[in-house]
Amino acid sequence: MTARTVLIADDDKLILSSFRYALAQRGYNVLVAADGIQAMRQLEETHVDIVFLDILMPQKEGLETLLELRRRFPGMPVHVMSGGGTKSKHDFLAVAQKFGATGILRKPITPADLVKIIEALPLASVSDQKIA
Amino acid sequence: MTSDVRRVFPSRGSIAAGKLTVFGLETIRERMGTRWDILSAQVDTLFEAAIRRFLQAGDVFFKTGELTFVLLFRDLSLQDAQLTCTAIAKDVCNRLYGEQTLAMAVRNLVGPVDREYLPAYKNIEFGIDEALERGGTETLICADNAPAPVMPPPPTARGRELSFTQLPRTRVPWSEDSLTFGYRPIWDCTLKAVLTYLCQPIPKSHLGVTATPGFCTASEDEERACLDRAVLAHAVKRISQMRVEGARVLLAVPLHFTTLARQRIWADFNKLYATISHDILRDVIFVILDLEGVPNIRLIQELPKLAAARHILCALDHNDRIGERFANTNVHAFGLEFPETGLNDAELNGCIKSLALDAEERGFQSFVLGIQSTSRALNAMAAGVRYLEGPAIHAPVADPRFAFVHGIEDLYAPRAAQG
Repeated sequence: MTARTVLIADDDKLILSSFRYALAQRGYNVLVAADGIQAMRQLEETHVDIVFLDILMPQKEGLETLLELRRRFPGMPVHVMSGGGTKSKHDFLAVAQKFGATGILRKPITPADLVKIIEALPLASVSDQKIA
Repeated sequence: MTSDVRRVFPSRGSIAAGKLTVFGLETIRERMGTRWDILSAQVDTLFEAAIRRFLQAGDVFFKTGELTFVLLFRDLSLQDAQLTCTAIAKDVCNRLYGEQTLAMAVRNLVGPVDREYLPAYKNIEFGIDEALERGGTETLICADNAPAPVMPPPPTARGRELSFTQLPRTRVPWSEDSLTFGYRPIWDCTLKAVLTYLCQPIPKSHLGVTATPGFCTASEDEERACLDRAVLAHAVKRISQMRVEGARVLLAVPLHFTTLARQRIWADFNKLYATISHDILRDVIFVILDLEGVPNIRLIQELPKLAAARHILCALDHNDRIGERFANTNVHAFGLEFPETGLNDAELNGCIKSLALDAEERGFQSFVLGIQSTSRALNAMAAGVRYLEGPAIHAPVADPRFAFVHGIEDLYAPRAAQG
């Protein structure tokens, strides 16, 4: 069986490296991006099965990236992550749901949380992605 | 034409004081920022038109490179050349900005020079030669085709005697008549609503040009006070007019600190301010500008003059050290007009975080104006900034008639519609 390819977009290098290590250990192909621009570039160049997208990122943040993902890769499973910011007055994750996120993850998140979601992916989803 | 040029600017030897003036457009380009590419042709046209108005028979001008106009006067004294150049520069700035400050480098040749010793001078010669070679009138223009009289023999001083002088600054008072106004919606991201609009004065000469974020500033204290008066007068009229029409919003009015702090200037400004009813002032928010280096004690002394207004906001430079400057003042919020500097997003987000943290620790609200992207908007919100303004929040409006609800989703409305 072909290993699934996971894209994680987060500007926190520590999170990226820990998730990448943990998921690679499980046999997944892991792509990382530091912002939405890099994420979209990865998606254009490589087949990806699932995206984990942080909201607060420089250049192009998660909600804007999610909207573009929904437009260009309508069937792509996209799980949006956020701590809601240090002040937590704004519920960005609720907006992500309105914008069509497959799921939301409130930080802190462990690699096991991601694995659970990846494992639950239907196999068919791999071939469903089409570039708009 | 070649002979005219060579009379004024002989191919060898030196030329006399006052014959040569160089206009540098670097400051105009800097001030226009990203609009320069669109407007540079318009600037050239304005410049050419102004020069043509003032030059006399036998004078020559041409453009060399992207940013330099060179004028060669056939027979003006240095003083007359300076007066003429000041008039040209004022004319251009007035048409461009609606102000007569000299937003350009104007350099008159003060002493006679042997140009073989000056690289900069050689560039000018190169420009002349190049233009003559092209043989057209597109870049090298004589004011008149009449034959120029024979020039007196040029002095023989050496290149090091050359010096340049900056023309004195001039200024003209702002008035409501010379300005038009745009309104920048300020989003209260805690209440998820736009209740306030920032009055953005725009010189009428900029009509048809998209207003850039940034306060319309002036260079001298009195000029600033004129601008402040004009904006306040306009805001008060607007508030009164809206009330008559049954609408009500808050208007934020930029005000330079020097207008408050300098006694004579304040006395002038207060002639207007004192006539405004407290009821109207409850709908006015002052945004204090130019606070760099102003200590806490001065703020404590000066800001109570504006106590009748709804709020006082203080706009800081992003390099400004905030410290405890606002302790014990009647300031409601302090913040930044977002600079389009060389800072990257991470650095700018760092600025915003420290601003928001500082404000919160001292019991103030914070604001960020000129937000260009949703990334910056969300980061500012997450950092705890309360008031946000900029193209990524909402486009400026011509008619600030209503307060309206504005949620996070609305930041993406145009994009969502496209999708």
